[in-house]
Amino acid sequence: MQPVSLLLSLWACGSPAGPSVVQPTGTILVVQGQGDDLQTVVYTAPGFAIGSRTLEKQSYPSAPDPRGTHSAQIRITEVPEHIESLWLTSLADTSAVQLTQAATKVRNPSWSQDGSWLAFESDAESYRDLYRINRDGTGIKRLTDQKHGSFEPHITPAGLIVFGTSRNGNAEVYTMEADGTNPRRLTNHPADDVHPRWSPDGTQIAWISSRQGGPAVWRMTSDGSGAKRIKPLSPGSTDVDFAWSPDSSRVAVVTRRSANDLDIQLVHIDTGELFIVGDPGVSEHPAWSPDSKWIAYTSHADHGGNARVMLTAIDGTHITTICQNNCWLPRWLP
Amino acid sequence: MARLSLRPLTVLPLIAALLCGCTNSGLSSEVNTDSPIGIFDRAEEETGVPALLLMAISQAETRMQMVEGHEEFPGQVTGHGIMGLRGRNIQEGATLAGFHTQAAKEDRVANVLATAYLMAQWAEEEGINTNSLGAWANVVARYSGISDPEAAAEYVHHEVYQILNQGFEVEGLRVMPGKVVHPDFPIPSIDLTRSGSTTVCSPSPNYNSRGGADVDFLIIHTCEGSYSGCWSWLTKPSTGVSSHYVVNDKGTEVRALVDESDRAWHISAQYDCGNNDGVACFRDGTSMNTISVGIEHAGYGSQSSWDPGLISRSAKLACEITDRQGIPRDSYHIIGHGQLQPWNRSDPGAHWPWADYLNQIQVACGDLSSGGTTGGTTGGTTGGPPSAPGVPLVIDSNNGANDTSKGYIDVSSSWWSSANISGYYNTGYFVAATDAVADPANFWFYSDTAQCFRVEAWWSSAWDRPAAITFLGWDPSDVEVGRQVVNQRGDGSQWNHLGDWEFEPGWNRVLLSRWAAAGSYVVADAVRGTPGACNP
Repeated sequence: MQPVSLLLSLWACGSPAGPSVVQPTGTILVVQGQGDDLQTVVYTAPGFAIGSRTLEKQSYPSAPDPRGTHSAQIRITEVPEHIESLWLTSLADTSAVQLTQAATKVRNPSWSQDGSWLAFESDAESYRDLYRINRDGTGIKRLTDQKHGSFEPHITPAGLIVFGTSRNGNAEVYTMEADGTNPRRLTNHPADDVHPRWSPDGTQIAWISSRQGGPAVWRMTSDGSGAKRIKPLSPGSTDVDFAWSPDSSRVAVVTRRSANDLDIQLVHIDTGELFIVGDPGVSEHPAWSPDSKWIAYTSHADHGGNARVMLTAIDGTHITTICQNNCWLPRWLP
Repeated sequence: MARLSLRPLTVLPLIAALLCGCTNSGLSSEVNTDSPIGIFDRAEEETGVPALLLMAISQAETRMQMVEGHEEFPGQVTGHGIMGLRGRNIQEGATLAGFHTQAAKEDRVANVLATAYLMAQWAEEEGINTNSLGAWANVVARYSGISDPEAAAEYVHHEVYQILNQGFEVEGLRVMPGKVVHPDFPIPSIDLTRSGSTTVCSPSPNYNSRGGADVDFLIIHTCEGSYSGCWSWLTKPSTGVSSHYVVNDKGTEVRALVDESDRAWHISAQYDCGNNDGVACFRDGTSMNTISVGIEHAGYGSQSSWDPGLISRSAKLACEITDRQGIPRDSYHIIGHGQLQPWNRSDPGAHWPWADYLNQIQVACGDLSSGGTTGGTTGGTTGGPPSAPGVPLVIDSNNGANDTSKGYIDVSSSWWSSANISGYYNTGYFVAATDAVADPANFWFYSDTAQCFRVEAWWSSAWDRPAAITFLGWDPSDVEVGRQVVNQRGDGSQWNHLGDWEFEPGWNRVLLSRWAAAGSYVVADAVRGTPGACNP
């Protein structure tokens, strides 16, 4: 790592403010491998590359534990059929507790702010519905029961859940209470409105909408008012994924300009300032550091098809490789 | 939106040979293997297999793209490379051509040469007249690997030789034989005009009852091979697989294999809740077949682009299915077969144009009344009645929707395909950054006689379009016959009158320049010419 004085000298004019400390903190989980030969690997600060170890095989890190001690992992089995289940795995000793029944799909878990419970989607009893469960595996409760499904729950600090549902004939964004009551529709458009995510401060919701051209990240207030794009239209490009910074000031948007051309664009939510980080054209899966100063991401810059997980300060400096052989999908825990 | 290139022709002797209908004469010895044409040129030189035939096979199998086949149906061998070379043919062809097997799969030159050497050997075994393109039909059928005679006949007649006779674009050049070639092969029993969208019933025995379950979603598949190979495999009793529909590579034909009310076997995972603590027993039998409809598409998941005609036809079919089955038209319910990633709902590995596809489905069903098309035109003319003076000819930015014997578009690699701003004509448009260069999009059209055309243009307007950009009319001698400056920030989603221009017999064109102050994006979407509709 660079000394602070050098770091300051590398800040680019007009780029976002860089890290206030040189060393990022926390733990980064990375998927290494593909198909039936993959594992979740743990990289811990400082240095990340030092002391890496395997957390689990055949599972994906799905939701970083706000307490920083565990990972909500989705385990996959393919024999005799494809089955998924949600587990809580300890980073300290890799012991794991099964939280949910297995189903053909158990996806998109989201933690409550204090880490005491999760919401997730499952097709165990229907096409797709939402459930909640306590951290210790008790208190499972079905939150939705809709023929055409409910998807992608995300919990605000106050415990309100935003989610996608097709109950009105196509995908729209709704909110509901933590017990599934008081569903409230926030969007109303025949084009896709999907992938809603609260800002960490709970004041805004960002989501992907196709209401104006191709899929793009929009934002609105918690009551559905004030909807607007977070960045201008860009001909020929679509937004495929995004992640709020923990301080709610920016959104890291994964923008696809063609089939294999993916950029990570940092958009300041108030000013609209836009800055591309990572390897232009070949970066995806942004994961923010807890202090909002760093981003881990997947880079496909190797022409041989190898993916790597990289780290960069948000001003584009201090690019470091964390995992270089067939590594992807970083998740950052406090 | 077929992306075309205007790179200079490097193998003129070959093209001359192709245009005159010869099969192996006057070929260049200066082979440029960076160029697709150069590769086929070399293959013909070395093996005697006609380059034109090899290119037509490549078009039929892979749309001349490098592909890496992945198993879509158990037991079916998958294709590789620009030729879709598959199974034992890979090793045999590689051995004959002197390459490693891996090279024959992954290297474009080795892939073409392995195919050519293999076909040359088969031609010798069968003792065909190699100077006759039609005589190669048996070798073409053997290359397909299709065992069903009807499907093999369709592959020969309706895929490879039809492509060959209609001609195709390679590096910005239109390649076709000098005269119609008739394959020496049994004619398929189904006589399709194939000039419009056609649905053919080919019942598959591979289905069973849904058991009363509702249909919840629509799954999008790719065949990992050719159209005829795909539907014939899915109708063979021994394969144990099927799909409800198969769409061909240009969207001109749909095969209906299984009634939507029945359960087709398009997802292989067999689900048994006994293996899963009794969870989700309503899915027993299969995980998803019970509650879904499946559409297969000719081609490969690894190909880098799809013919706009295929996307358009599939979108209309998807609209009809979702209407009939009450499936929500959104990305929660219209999903890819490979979408098994639990970390992400999107399907990043696929090059399927999801955004455009969903948009077209919603437009076709009337969900998006302000959507990007003019009502789903599929041919080169407008859907409405012809105007009094003459039938208008629309030259679309999608050559799949053009009758290219009458009109077509070509653009340089500086232009790219987009459907980002709604209000476009048909399936999308080309867009390019404005700059101090002409580098025009060319809307070519053929006129039998010298006559006046009413010329109009369509674009989707937006704030980042140029406020002043020039359309030009040029006759076959490149003499300017008219020009009009337009503002693409307005007047979008309508036909805008450019002028009444006098054109000459032959290939005329309307050019749209990029020449404007940098910082804007000029749109080449569609041009309409109506002969004899000029104001006095």
